[in-house]
Amino acid sequence: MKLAVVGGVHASGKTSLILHVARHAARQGLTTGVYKIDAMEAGDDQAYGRHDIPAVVHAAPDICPDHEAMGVLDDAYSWGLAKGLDLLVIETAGLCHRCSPFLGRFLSICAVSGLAGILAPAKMRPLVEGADIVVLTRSEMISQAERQVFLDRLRELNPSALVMHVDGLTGEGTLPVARAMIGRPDSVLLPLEPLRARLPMGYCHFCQGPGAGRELGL
Amino acid sequence: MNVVMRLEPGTDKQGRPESCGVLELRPGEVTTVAGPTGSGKTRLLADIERLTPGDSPTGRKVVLSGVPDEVLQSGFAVGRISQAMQFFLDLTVREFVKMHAQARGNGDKDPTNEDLAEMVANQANRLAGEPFQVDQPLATLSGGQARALMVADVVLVADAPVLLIDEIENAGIDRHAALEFLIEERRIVLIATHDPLIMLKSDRRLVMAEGGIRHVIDTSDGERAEVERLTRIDREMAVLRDQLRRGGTL
Repeated sequence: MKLAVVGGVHASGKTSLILHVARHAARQGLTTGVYKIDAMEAGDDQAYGRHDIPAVVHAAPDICPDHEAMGVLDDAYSWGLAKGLDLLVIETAGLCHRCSPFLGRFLSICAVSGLAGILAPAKMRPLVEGADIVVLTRSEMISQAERQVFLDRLRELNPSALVMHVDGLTGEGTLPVARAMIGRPDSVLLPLEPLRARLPMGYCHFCQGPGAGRELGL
Repeated sequence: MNVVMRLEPGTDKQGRPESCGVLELRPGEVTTVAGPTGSGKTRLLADIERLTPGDSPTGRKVVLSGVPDEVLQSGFAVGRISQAMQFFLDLTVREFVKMHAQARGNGDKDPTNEDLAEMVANQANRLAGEPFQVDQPLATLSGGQARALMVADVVLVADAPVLLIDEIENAGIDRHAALEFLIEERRIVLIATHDPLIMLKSDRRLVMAEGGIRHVIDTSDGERAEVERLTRIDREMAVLRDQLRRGGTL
């Protein structure tokens, strides 16, 4: 089983991207499964269910979904093996982007919406800089000139990544992403897999655990 | 090396193969794409823009030869004016032109670069109605102004050997002036249009139906002879339009 992590802001086009990847994989007779970690339960399992893609949606109401993703990695991995998956995708929508959910050896893909501002990539620098593949989504919604400017900005932030744009409606441009995921050797999950990003020093009292939401925190 | 774009047929929406055979387009040629709305004109332009290797819904293949590899890889080989009438980027016109020129790798084509932004804005303002300012945010441009800026930018900044233009007549800009500016001998030009005059002025038209290229028709001498008469009618309409929109009466 191959493992890939897809990170990106809410509504950045991660699910559409993964659906197209799963379609390409299925053509080669390979099964894709998705373990999705989100701040709120929003019914994404139905999107995958409609395409017969095995999926677990895990809500992380108390801590950042990217953090939660690291905590449930073992569960996700065992689930993928039990399902007999060829490709396991961890999909996670982090909150503050001071770090990223990307792990040392696993293919890391970052989705950025073409409708986000031009400063957005720099504001989620650890996510863009830590990825092997940076995908500009919703490219069909913006003019060609804007797309060229956006892609240039992404390449500037991460010159070694494969930077591409995809059309989430038709799936054009998603084939190379699928090839990259499928073409990797099988992944073995080791304890203490190193994170690619440096972690922030502390947690904000607004978001940390029970007791959050009180002005003075814990 | 001569620039040639080779278009290998795919299938229409029903999965039937296109019968047009392999099409080859060369610089200096203007090809229009005609057909009712929904017939696949925009899809065809999208296939060409991406120089599709065969993974689009039509399965067409488009190969551009005679263009340097670095231009192909930069994604600047095929310029496209889409039907988009709005910019989303949070930049001023000046910042946008500058960044686009940098992305194109011709940021130093004009050493000051400020002049390039002014040039692009001035050219766009010649095509649109009321002028916009070069330090205005992109998102505040009207539909026509945005289109005019895309036209000026695609020539003065992107400067691609292949140019795709999608329904320029809907833009609220002077379409004949825009086309005169866009069409140059050194480019391969394709124009998706519903405008009979634009079709007849082109070298040939691809007629779309149900998502596929149904006919390839070279403009005949008889059709060319009609252009003068139609241009007169068109000019009359333009004068009338301008008169009414400036508050005049008949």
